[in-house]
Order: sequence, then structure tokens, then C-alpha cells
Amino acid sequence: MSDHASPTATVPAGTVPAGTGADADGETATRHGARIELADVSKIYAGQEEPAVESFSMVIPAGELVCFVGPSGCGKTTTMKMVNRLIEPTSGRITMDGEDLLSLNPHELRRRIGYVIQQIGLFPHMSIADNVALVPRMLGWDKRRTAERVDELLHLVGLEPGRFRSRYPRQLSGGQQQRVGVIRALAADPPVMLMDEPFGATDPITREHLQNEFLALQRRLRKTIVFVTHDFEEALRLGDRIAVLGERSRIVQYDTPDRILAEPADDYVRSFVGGQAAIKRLGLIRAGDLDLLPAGSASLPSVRVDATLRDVLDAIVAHRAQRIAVVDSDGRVRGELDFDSLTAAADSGGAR
Amino acid sequence: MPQRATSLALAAVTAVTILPLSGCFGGDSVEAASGSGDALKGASFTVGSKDFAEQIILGRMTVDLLKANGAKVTDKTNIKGSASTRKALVSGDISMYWEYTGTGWITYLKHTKPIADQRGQFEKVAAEDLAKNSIAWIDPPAPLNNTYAFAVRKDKADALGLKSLSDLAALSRSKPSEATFCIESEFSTRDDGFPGLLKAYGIKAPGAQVKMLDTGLIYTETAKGKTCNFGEVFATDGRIPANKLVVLEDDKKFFPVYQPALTLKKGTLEKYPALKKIFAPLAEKLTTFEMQKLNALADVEGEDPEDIATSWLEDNGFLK
Amino acid sequence: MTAVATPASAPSRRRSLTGVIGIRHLATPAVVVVALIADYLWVHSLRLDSIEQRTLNSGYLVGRTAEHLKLTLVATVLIMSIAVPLGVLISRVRARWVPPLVLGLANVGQATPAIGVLVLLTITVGPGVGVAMTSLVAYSALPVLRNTLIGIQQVDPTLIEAARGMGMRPAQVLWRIEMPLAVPVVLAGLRTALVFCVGVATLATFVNAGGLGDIIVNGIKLDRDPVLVTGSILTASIALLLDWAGGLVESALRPKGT
Repeated sequence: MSDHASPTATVPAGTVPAGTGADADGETATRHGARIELADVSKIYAGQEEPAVESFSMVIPAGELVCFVGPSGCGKTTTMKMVNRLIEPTSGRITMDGEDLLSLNPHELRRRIGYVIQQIGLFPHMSIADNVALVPRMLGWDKRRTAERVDELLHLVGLEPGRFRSRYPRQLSGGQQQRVGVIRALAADPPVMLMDEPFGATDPITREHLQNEFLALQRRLRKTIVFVTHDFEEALRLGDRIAVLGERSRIVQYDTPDRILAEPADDYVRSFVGGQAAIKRLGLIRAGDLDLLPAGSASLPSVRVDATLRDVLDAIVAHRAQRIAVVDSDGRVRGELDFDSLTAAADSGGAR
Repeated sequence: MPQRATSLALAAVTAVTILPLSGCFGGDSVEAASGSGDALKGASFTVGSKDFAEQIILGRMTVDLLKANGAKVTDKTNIKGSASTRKALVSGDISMYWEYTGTGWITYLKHTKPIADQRGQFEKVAAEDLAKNSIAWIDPPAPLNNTYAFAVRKDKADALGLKSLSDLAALSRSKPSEATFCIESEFSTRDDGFPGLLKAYGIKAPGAQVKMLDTGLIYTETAKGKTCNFGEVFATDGRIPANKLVVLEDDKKFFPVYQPALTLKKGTLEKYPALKKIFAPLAEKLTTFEMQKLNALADVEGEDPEDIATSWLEDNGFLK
Repeated sequence: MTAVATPASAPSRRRSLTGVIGIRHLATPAVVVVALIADYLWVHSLRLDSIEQRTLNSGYLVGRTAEHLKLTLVATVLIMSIAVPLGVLISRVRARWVPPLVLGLANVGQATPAIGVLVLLTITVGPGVGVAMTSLVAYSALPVLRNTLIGIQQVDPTLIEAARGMGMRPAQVLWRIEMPLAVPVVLAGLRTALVFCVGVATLATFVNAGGLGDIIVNGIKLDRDPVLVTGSILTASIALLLDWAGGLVESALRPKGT
């Protein structure tokens, strides 16, 4: 935790780190994300003429989750793996908060970057606690600190430490294993995480569950995350930004989900967006983020503040209602929304 | 003679030095084209032998002579293992093979003390095997005696002035470090083997100076003279002259007599009494000296035992 | 036949050591004990001649059995210390042609008749335990070598990817991930090698290295069935018991969770 001078300084203004609140609950202080910059990064494999990645340049703001989306074989995974140097770039520069990653010892670098893969890769011969404790131990944490960290992380993803600590991966469900995969990557509190289709192998219900959980986690932790996926819906749901990549990892469009839906750069991006862009945009906006109409006295169908406008639209159609009430978690009515609120929000691009 | 049959190393030794054993399982039952008679016309026999050169040569001689006398013959020489060969005779798989008097006495009749007199040993074993097992031994046995012997390099023997086992006993007391031995492990356990020998001659042989080796290796190691000076060998073995070894005389007549005689079931001999007339003259010609020469042709020169047998029979007037 | 007593006491000692022995694990020692007792009673009911007595006495039997065990166990230790590192080494080599070449050589070692190796070595360097040991190792190393290689190769590549991604150095990946997960396969190879060794060690008798081959070969050559049967039962008992012990070690060392 020593070699990073106040990484929180780089968190973009306007994004209030939710983690500070969590600290008061007795959790260890969380290190927020670091700014990553890739400049002119290329990868040419030995014996191949075509580069796998060609002159890739991108700035990933600290604390943001960037989804790389593209067809398989487009080089998105290769690009991601060059950040922790599982694949060494042939040329170019990669920096993390200004620090040149290519000049570091690759093993030590990787211990500072969380890594989650689709197959999870939990070590079957190690208990859950041992799996999670691997990187802290490599970093020389003492026993007590490591044990506390493991329990804290298990709590964080809803796995009761007393029950799960000494189990083996095989004894866990797929979803539970994937949660452990994520907290293992988080164990040493790295500023940056690389995630390679981490939820790709789970069933749709579990996947949505994991995505929501992960999103909530990320809102608190504010790590800088490179998230590779070929599922555009997933990218829309999770990404602060989406990079739509073409062949040789060419960046076709790099923007917020809303802007990509509203203004796809070309037909290639449009093909990813698919139909129903407007509806999808509604799915990006939370009811609580809008200026609500004052609450009336009539009893209305209600949604919670964290519901998306897509849910609101659904409620309007389902209940043939003119208005929908927005309630907070205690059931207290915050205000109301009508159909015009939705169209207005879609026009303005939401309040995000 | 002692049973070399199970010497598992034989195959390996063969690969290094000696005979390609071709045609031993020919199984041909062709009528003899020429012969010294038709005394056995209409008879058919299966001839066996153990799996080393001397036995195969004796077996092939038997095949040739039977054919020459008008019999149909199946060749089953070169059977793995001494005990298997004897069992093949008892069970009727083979009609006859050459067995050694000492082997019959100690191995099959389960005696532990041999009889010193050659003729006496033959008569005892023949009588008891006939009475107990209905196995007949054709009289007379060959004069050759393929018994145990101790061999030493010729130059070593000359240098130390060794001629007999008594000389060796004296050496074991005057120069104990020279008394080193290579023996087969079975030899170490039998009364007519190492324990009896040491006692009979008063030889001193501390355990560390006694190495137990495979039969084939004893010749090479004794010839090198590093592992041991004195190797337990078989008196008629062709590798003795080939390795420039000399045999120490058994001056106290300690070792049992191992004279080969054709053995067969009593019933077979009764049915074909001519067999005795046919094989007695052959047996009489087979001396230790003669046999050593034939064995050397096979073991050292690598000639085919079948050819060795046939040409010897021709040279000695048994075949025309 | 005091040798009978030793294996009989083994199971109870094991039980207290590992605590992993169930009833089904006792089947092998039970069979061995029954066979040894049966042989003991049979031999005792016979009137042994002096040739048989020289072999079938407790001093001789215990001596040969001890030699046999020593040959087998020392050879196995040698095999482990040669074949496991070699297997690891060739699993690291990038060049694709190296593993088949090394396995091919080991295959030659196994395919060559052990007695041939014994005799050739004796002719070149002289007889003794060293020669016996060399051919035992040459003959029995293949299963351990091959299983080490396979054991490492069969480790799920995504685990290695995950380990590297977490910042493990190659040595850490080997020791903490690949080796522990290869253990069951390596041990299976070791069990095979042990049983090979017990068998091949009977040939040591031909090069002055002792062992139960002394008894078996005597039994065969002198047509003394009690000698042959006792030697064979002792050899088979050692093979069974070592394989059994190997099985226990295997289940004890199998990484938890797999």
C-alpha cells in the first residue's frame, strides 16, 4: 500500500467515492483506482506478419470500469493482458498513475493488479481462505492481517466466513466460486483489476445476480477495471465506458454507454447495439436520478429509486398507469414519474 | 549335470557371444532319406532336450539317429528349464531326452548325498528311477562327466602352481586373499556343492570372498580375474578352453558324477528294444574331451547345434 | 519363517499412524498374512532335506527378504530423485521434441530385458549391488518419469494462467500449483515402479546382489517346490504390501479438495 501516492486524487470529479462511507463501518481503507494509459501499444506474435494489436492508445480514468467489447479474436483479451504483462507488448507504453509498467518486474506488477478469468481458476487443492490469501501472502502480509482480510472479503460477497473459509472450491456452487474469484483478485486491494469475461460461464440468472452484486461492490470500491466481454448487454449494464473494438483491437468507438446508444459511430457499432437502442438507453438511467414530479395523493403503482427507467416503462405499460410512484428503500414516496419524464430523460441522455 | 536350464541369463549371454538357436522347434517328421536300417520303421518319437548347447547337440544327434533307423521324429529340443524337460517326459509330451546321473539322483530322486563311484551312481539312479517312476535309463551312460569343477585362468594357475582342489585348499590358508570364488547361488545350498566342498577339502572361503553370479557370468568374470580367481563351471563347457581357463582336478573325487544317459519311459523301451542297440554305441563315443569340443563349436564359434550334431555323426560313421 | 511375523504387525502400526485405514484397506495385508501362514504351516508339515533346510531357515529367509526390500526401496528412492526432477525438467522444456525423446529413452530402458542390462553391466564393470541397482533404476524409472510429465501436463492450463496472473513466479507456479496437483499421478507411477522393482530385484541373485531371487532360483534349479513356493510367496507378499502402502500414501498425500 506504500508505493501509491494518494491514488484517490485521480478519481474524476463528480464521482464521489462511496468507499469512504464503508470505512466507517470498520472495513480497512480501500485504495481506489489508478489512471491507466496505453500509448501506441502493439503486439506482433513471432512468426506472424499481421499484428494482433496495432497502435492501441487509450486513457482509462481512475476508478472507472471500461468494457472492451468486440467479436472473438479481435484482440481485446490480448490488449487487456498486456496491462499486467501476461502478454508482453511488442512496442508502446503503458503507465499506471504515470508509472511505466514495462519497466517493472512483471511478477511484482501482477501482484498489484487483480486478475479474474472466465474459468475462475480457483486452485482446487487450496481452501477458499488459502485461495483468497495467496496474493497477500506473496506480498508478505502477516497472518492476522491476512486472515482478517479474508474474512472481510468473504463477508463482502455474502459468504459467511465461518462456513466457507475452510471449504474447498469443489464444494461451492458456480456463483459462489465466481464470487471467490473476484475477492481473490481484490485481496491485496489492488488499484486496478483486469477481468476477462468473468461471468461468461454462469447461467443467465446467476449472471445477472453476480453483475448486480459486482456493480454494487464497484460503486463502493471505485477500482479502475478493464472488463473484457463479448456481451454488449453486460457492457451496457456494467461499464462506465465501453470500448467497441474491431480487428487488431482497433478502437471503433470509446464512449459512455449512453452516448454509444445515442450516437453509434458507424454501422459496426450499430450492429453491436442492435435494435431497441432507445429502450436500452432507458435501461441505463435510474429512476432516482431524475427530477421527480411532486407526489400526489392517489395511490399509484410504485418502483424503487434504484429501478431503471426501463422498469418504469414496464410498470406504466403493465398497470396502464399514467404515473408511477418512486419509493425509497423504506417505502417512502419520493415523487412520481410519467411517460413524458421518460422521453425527456432519453432525449437529454439522462442524469448520469 | 547340474541344471543350467533355468539360467535366465542364457538369452542375454547368447546375444553377446554365441549361438543362434535356429530350427530347434522344426517339428518336422520327415522319413529319414538314408539310414543305417529300418529297425524303427513305423515308430514315431518326440525328442526333447534342455536349453543349453550340450543338451541340444545330444538331442539333435538323437533325432538324426532315430530318423536314420526309419522312425518318424518330432523335434522338441531346447525346452526351457530342467524341471520342465523332466516333466515333459513324465507326462508323455516327449518320448526321450538325455539326463545326467547326478541330476536324476539329487534333483528328481531328492537325495542329498551323491555316490562317488561312476558306475555305482548310474546303477543306483537307473534302478531307483525305474522302480519309483518307471523311467528307464539306457545303459551305458556316456563316459563324459559334465560335473561341477573349479576353473582358474591358466596363467594364474601356473603362477600359483595350482593343479588340484587340494592345491586350492592349501592356497586358501597360505594366501587367503587369493581365494576368491564365483559360484551360482544354487551351488551354495547343496550338499554336493559349496558347503560340502569346503568341508571335504578344508578350503577357507570367507563370505565376502564368495560372489554369487549367473552361470554365464562366471566364465567371463573368472576370465577377467577381478571379481574372483576361481569359478564354478561345468566340466564339459566349451567356454573353459575358449576363455583360457583350466579346470582344477577333483583329486578327492568330491563332486557327484554327471554322466548323460538317454532316459525314456519304461514302456517305450519295452516296445522298441532296438533303441538300446542304437544308442549304446553313440553314448560310448561321447567323452568329456569330445563334448567340450562340440560345446565350444556352439558356445564359442556360434555354429548351429543341429549342424554340429549331424556332421559329428557323419564324421564318426553313424550316418552315411 | 520369522518373516511371517513382520507383515502381520504392519496394519495396526499403520492405523495409529495415519488413521485413514478402513476395513477395506485391510484386505491386502489379510491376504498376505493368510498366504504366509499357509506357506509356513505347509513347509512345517514337510520333512525337509538338507538342501531345503539350507534355504528354508529363518536366518536365510529374513536375510534375503531384507536384501530384497533394501534393493527395492533404495532403487525407488533413486528413481524418485532422478525421474521426478527429470520429468519436471522436460515438462519445462519449450522444444516439443524433447519429451518424446526422453520418454523414448526411458522406454528403451524398460523394454530392454533387465537381465540383459544386468549381464552387460556386469561384464563391463563387474558384479555387485551397484549393477543391480542401476538396472533396477533403468528398468523401473519410466512409469515415474512418464507420470511426472503427464501429471504436470494434465494440470488445467487456466489454473496456471490464474496463478501467473496473480503474480506467481514460475517456481511458485510449479511448487504451489503444478506439483501438488500432479502428486496423485506421480504416486501412481511410483506404485507401478515399486512393483516393477520387487519383480526385477529377483534377478539381483545373478550378480551377487542377493535378494529373494536366491531362493526362487534355487527352488527352480534344484526342483525343490517348498523352496520355490516360499520364495515366490515372499516376493509376491512384498509386492502386494508395498503397493498397498503406496496406496495409503497416495490417499494421504492426495491434495485435499481434489
